[in-house]
Amino acid sequence: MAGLGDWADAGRDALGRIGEAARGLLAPELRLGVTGLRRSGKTVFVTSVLDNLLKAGRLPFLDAVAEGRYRAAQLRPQPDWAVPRFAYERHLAALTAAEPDWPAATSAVSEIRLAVRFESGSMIRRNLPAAPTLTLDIVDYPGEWLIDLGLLDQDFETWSRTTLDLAAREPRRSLAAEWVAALAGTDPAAPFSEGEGRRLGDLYASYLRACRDAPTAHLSLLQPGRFLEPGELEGSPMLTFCPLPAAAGRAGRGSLHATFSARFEAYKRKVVQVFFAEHFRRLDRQVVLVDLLGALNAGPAALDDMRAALDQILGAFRHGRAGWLARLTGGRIDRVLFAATKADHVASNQHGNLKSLLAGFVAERARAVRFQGAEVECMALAAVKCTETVTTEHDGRQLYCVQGIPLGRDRPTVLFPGELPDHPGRIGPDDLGRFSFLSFRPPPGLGRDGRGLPNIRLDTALQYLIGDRLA
Amino acid sequence: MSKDPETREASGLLPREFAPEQARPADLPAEIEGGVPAPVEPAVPRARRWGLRLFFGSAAALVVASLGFDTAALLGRAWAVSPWLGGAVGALVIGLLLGLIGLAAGEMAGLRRLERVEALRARDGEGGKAHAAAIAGLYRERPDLRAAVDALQRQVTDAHDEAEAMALVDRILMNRIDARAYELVLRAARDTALATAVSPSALLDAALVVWRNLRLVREIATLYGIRPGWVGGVRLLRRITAHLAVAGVADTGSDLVVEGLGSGLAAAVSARLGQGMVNGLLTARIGLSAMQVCRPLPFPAGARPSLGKIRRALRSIPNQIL
Repeated sequence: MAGLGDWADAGRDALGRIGEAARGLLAPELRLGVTGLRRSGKTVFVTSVLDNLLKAGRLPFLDAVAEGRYRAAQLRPQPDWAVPRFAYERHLAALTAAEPDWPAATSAVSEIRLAVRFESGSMIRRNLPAAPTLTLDIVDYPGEWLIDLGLLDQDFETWSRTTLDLAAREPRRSLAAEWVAALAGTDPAAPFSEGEGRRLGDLYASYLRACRDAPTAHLSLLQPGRFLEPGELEGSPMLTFCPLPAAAGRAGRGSLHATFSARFEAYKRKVVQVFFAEHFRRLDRQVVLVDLLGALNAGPAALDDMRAALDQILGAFRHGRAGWLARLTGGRIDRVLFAATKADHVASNQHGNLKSLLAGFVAERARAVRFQGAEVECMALAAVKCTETVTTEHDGRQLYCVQGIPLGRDRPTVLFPGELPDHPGRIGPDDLGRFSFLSFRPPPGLGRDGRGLPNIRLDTALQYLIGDRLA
Repeated sequence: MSKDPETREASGLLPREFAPEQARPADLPAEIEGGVPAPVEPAVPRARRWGLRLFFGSAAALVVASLGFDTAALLGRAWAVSPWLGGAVGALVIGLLLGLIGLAAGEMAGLRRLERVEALRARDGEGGKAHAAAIAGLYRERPDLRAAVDALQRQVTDAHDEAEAMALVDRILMNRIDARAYELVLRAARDTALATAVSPSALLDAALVVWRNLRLVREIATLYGIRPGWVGGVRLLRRITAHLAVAGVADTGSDLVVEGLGSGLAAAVSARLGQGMVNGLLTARIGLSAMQVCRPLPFPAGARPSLGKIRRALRSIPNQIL
């Protein structure tokens, strides 16, 4: 029930939005959210976007650059003082070092602001004295937080049921064994005790961590996300619960089930909704990075998991653009890009299939989102291009391969990683081992030419995400 | 699970690694030769008048033969008069032959350039980088386009597919050429419009218009890197006429006449001016057709050159004169 305080909040929020809108007319601002499922290369993506926008030497498909209207970009102090700054310089240094390496993964929200000065293509604005400036805020946050938005529509019983179902199947079953065994020994209707609650919560959290860290499983659907990166919430009751099987009898007040259910609701209210209000609702554009190749490597179970995660993510975008009222009160994301990253791990003739494969995974929910008024697009891209496409002869057939230096090796190799199907329906259960996508090292000498990090289709992605604001 | 044959074949190939020595870069720019099917011309049934052909063929052969005999006889007589005279006549004959060979070689080169462009237009789906490199190759020697060609080669990577590479060729290289071709068309359209408006006789302005149109076609072809000889020029003109016939029929009636005649007071005041507009628009249309025929890759959908700007420029002509 919405109390008086909620209404006051909404009013203050709306006022803030009106102020924002007024400022937006003078100096347009755009908040771009970047998120991704596990190990999808978020940090590298943001680093490459920044580097390329700053140097603007490899963005032929960004219209403003192609038409010669792009002047320059500059990093600026960010607007939110409480959010860590994205460590662009450090990550770029790691990529361009003499011994290049991938930057360390980040686990919390971070932000950076970039001001882009350009010349307008429209006749009216071109005659204004000053060149317009687009202020671009890039917000980078963990994909689990986005999946958490899916919790908002679920109550504790529903969520418990789906989570337990998931845990009963491989590859999660073996990872969940300890936690499930502990659950079997508890009665949800029994009175709650702090010790027992903590034990179950810790076991569940370590199960989630095991899922995340399992090297071959490549699991994406890990809820609640803060169990993995609790930050200052570590050990709070809000993060001390787990899904429970339905109670046999009626679970009264003070029972384990009732307590966990209350904590689940508190998590939704205090963590998920706060994220929604403070970050997600203020975004204008969203990129969701998906390591589709990693999931293919890991096999059908990982693919199913990824599909479920994508489903929940798209669910979060149902509140897309729905008119001016929605802009004042709720979410306002009007463009969503799903990007299959690491496209350089397959030969360039496979990029089309990679894209349509991803589009196939999100097709159904994407239609619903489009119906709400937001645009959804899929692409295959690589934030940093580490390989060259080459051809070899094999059994009289010409094979398109990738050439690069795999992680953990010193010499380049030529890899034929298998051929991608163009539709998820064509991946059968017997296709394990059909793909072998190696991870490659960033090539030495990256960015030495001063044109920005080499990439695949980053410019097309940027044109979709911010191109209309550079018109 | 049932699969179609294509998938089964693909799944038969398991992932594998090769030694780097075995590989070669994808999309090596292939040599482009003639012999690729030319763009389809509208099928017009042509009467095979073999009698006429035989007549003209034989006549030409007769002329050549008699010229040969006469030259030989001339050479013999000159030699009889004096070896000096014979030598001089002989040198003239050799010069004539050399000139002929040179002309023929020029014509052949022009034809080959035309065929190369036509081959490029006909090429499709053969890997983006190679195709882009082949198109860039047409313009590499041109100092004015050097920067654009270099930029193009920097931007196109092995990761771009055919459509993307062609889009890059369009936005980086062809855009500049198109803009200049557009200027040429604009200038020619104004020229013909003005010439028609002020010329004293109908015959004179007809000649002017024909001459100016031919020059425009040649200028545009040269700009796009064709530089046709006479034979190539004739073939190009035929293509342009065919293109005009196919592409222009639908809107010739509506645009040309309505725009020409209905373009305001000035046309009503002066019939000459109106005629000038019509001629100018005709020239513009021929020029735009020439652009489409000479371009080594078709215009992207939605970016075809339009008469709009040229119309506006032509409409201002009456004001300039009056």
